[in-house]
Amino acid sequence: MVGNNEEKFALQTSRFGEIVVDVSKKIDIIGGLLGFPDSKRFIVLDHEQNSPFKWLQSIDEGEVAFVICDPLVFFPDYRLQIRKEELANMKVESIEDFVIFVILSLYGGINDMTANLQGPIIVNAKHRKGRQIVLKNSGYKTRHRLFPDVEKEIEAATEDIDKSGG
Amino acid sequence: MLVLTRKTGESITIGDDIRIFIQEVRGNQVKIGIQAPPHVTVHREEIYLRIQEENKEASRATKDMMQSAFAQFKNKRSKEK
Repeated sequence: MVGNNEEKFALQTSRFGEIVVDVSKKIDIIGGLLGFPDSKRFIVLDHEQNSPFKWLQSIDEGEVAFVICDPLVFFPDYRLQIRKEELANMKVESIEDFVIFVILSLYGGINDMTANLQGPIIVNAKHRKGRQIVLKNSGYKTRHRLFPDVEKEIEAATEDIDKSGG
Repeated sequence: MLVLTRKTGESITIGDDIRIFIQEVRGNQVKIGIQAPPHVTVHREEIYLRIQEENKEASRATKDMMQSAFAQFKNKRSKEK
């Protein structure tokens, strides 16, 4: 558990084993993520160099982690409207301090990696406060494919094999 | 579950700071106004459940899945170049 005065502590996680958490890096997700009411404090773990993906690891529950990314990497036209009440308790000084993440569902197959564009996480990076918001009437859904053209490529490749008599 | 009967224009209070107004009833549709403090999130249940379900699905991601997503990403980027 986290001692109030500790700057760093060891956290047992199911994916990464024991990791050292720098308390100054924690992000408070106000209200937690929907469906995970007991996880309110998270840290962001980088994946590999040049990877657009990151892990959002719960500090409260070592087995709870999500893959997140900047939505603009895959959805350059993504825009969202944040309602005033969604910024409550987020210590807003400047909108410039905010970053947006979306949560990805990977399922295990490359064809069906999806991003939840309807429930993005907004983070005040300066004060390290975040919230998962639910967009209304945005046209965005919970499952937008990251690689929508993969299926076509597979179909094309299969056709080639068929033509060559394979 | 507490069940109350209300007429159009009447309201219900929950605790000190939540008020629910019955604004309009037409056939099987009810228009409801909700006044709540900012820290109380209000969602249509089906949307709330959908996001909750998707979060649960997303939490099943493993390191291997992440690796394969990254491989796919690199592959795509190298084709675009």
